[in-house]
Amino acid sequence: MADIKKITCVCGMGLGSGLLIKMTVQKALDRLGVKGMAVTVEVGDVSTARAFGSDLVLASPEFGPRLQGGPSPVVVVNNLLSVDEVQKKLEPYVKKWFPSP
Amino acid sequence: MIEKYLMPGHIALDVKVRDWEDAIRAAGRLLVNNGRVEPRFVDAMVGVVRQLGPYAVIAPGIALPHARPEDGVKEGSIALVRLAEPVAFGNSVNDPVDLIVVLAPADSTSHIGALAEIADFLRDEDNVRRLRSAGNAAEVLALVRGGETPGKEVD
Repeated sequence: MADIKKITCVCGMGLGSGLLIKMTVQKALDRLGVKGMAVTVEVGDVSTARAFGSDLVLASPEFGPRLQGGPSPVVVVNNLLSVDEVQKKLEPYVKKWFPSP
Repeated sequence: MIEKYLMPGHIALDVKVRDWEDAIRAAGRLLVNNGRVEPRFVDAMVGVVRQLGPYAVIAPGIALPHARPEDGVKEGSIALVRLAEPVAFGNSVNDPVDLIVVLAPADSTSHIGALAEIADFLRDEDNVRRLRSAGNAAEVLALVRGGETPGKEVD
């Protein structure tokens, strides 16, 4: 059984950019045809992202560098509103997690 | 929800500012003047950007500075300022900024709904284009109120 993949969206303050990224990620996952339960998307701050094993961390350019080299792969998102950008960046991971038969 | 948050007095177009801090203060002032936030909320927003860097620049030319409910929010509200001249916030990818949208959250729950509405509105490049060319606050209001269509996927 495939385990549930976890994506952590990182923000600095607990209220802002992480949530924006999360919304865009959810739309991108829809476009990529990922079924609802297969991936959970969470919002965290820089320390949360390090502590809890994520399969992928998404962050804006301010936080990306601090997270690089940690336990999870980090993807930097420049335009937090762009479903196109996030979809393109998520695609290789989604393909790896859920290889087509 | 956006209708209650973004009132006519919260919009200012073609504002002249010196730098990014001035820009945030100009937008925050609209909410202070309308009794939506205490002056310290504006200081808090500036403080966050100072501390975290230009994280508030979420998309090309668009900054979404905000702070927490406990930083002096009296009523959940949104302000929108369009600058006469764009300013640098220090974001190498999305600078310079000409649109400042301030979100003053009443509490963390209602904040999420408001943020989602703003995000979906700004996600639509047509909306942003029309924001940039709007002639007055009334146009902006009509655009924002007319522009929100629940469940509409635009991209």
